Amino acid sequence: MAKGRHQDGEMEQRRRQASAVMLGNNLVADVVFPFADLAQSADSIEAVEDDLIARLNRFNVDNFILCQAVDRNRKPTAAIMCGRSLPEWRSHYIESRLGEKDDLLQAGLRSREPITWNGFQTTRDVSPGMKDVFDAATDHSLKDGFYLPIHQTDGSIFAVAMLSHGGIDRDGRVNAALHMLGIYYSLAVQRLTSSGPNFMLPGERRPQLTRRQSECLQWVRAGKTDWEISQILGISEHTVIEHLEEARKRLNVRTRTQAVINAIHFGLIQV
Amino acid sequence: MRVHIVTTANRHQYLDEIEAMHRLRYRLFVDLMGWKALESADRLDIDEFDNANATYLILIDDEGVVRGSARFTPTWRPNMLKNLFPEYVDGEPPVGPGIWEWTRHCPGDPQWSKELNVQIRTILHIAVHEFAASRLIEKYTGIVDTRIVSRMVDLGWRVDPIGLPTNYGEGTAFAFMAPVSAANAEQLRKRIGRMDTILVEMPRGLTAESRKTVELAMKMPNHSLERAEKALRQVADSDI
Repeated sequence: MAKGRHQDGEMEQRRRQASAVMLGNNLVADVVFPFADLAQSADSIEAVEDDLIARLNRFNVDNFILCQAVDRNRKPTAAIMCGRSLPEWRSHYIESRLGEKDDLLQAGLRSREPITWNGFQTTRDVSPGMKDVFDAATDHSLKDGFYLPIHQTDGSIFAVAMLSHGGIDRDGRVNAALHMLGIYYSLAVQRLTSSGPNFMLPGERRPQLTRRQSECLQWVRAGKTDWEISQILGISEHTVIEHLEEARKRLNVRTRTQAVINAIHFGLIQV
Repeated sequence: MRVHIVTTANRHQYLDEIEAMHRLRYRLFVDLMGWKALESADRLDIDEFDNANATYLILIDDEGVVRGSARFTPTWRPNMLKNLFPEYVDGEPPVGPGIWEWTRHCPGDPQWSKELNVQIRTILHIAVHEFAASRLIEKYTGIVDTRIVSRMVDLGWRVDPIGLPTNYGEGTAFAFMAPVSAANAEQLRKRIGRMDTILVEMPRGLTAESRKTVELAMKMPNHSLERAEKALRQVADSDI
């Protein structure tokens, strides 16, 4: 018994190694890795999307969108942010309010795993609303979809949706490749939309403060005046004011109090 | 009055309201409840769970004044019961998808009129239910002061204790788990005649100004939701 189990384990390990090699050769190395590189270096979303659609075409995926799940009308709905959508399908989806029936949004709130239309239909009860969505998709000759929820550490939820007219190969390696492409696409969009004013990035690039700026804010939190802080830190009152002004700018807020609140929020000073 | 979902993603739209929330919390928890551990020279109640994992519900009235708030943390992230007060729980603190911790519930201020406070309290609780629907939350956990339990029950919650009452200095409190019930939310709606959606979540990418435009659209009498949806969509589309 013990020996048999050991052999089974060895077989399983070999099988995994073999599939890892195939994954590496066929898809990840050729298709995904170059995209990961581009996604981290390109300087426009257009360039990223041009490249992505060409790669997705190899898996029969025709279009993709990135959306953010936001709450409206007591149900999560999707605000489309960017992508290469099918104009007809998109306007039909919006006008027929399919977003309110689309259970993938709901499923994505609880899951970090990608969901395929096919997998969804075979493993769950499809609600009447969701059936409407699938029927509408069929009317638009859409055969299959791949939905990747992306949970940010800040509580916001994004999703990459990919659709296919020809049907997506039900190979685990294809799913893995789409999964990785989706992740890098969303990273690229976040990186490339971060420059505007008032735009705090989820999970990454939190504001940085110098030690002195943090110390000054810490004493503001303790209720000290500029003069008192200057005495405590042994620097001039003018310098204290400069530190606090710079901290306010870096935290992108209007007042010192808001600077203190945001500094605590981002873990830059102690409570 | 509406209740806004404020996360790290959209908090830059709410800097003034967030500050007002911390002040109102100080007023309630330090000035009125006497929680000395929270005393602070700047009169802002902020603790270590006011971090990037926190999601706030902030009740803002039609004039833009903050009237109440509540704070939520998913239990799979550091939270009060698990990381600060595990002794309140008999056994392991509940953790998992569908379970969120509910803390710093701050419904109004006794110096406002009784009618206004009843409105605030009820609306905030309806919003807590809507928030559950929006995040697929099945159960809330938290610590409740024994003086407040009756109010929770009065507002329709089933409050299951998960630990024994513990004295914390200014009172006695115990850890609870409260299952979410849609029927309860409907009861609360009938009480104050608010059948519309109370909760709103602004997508990231809006500025504080464009957020206010969206809010104005939502106040319009006819087809208000559709107009607001359209305004939101346009802003969301044009911002990227």
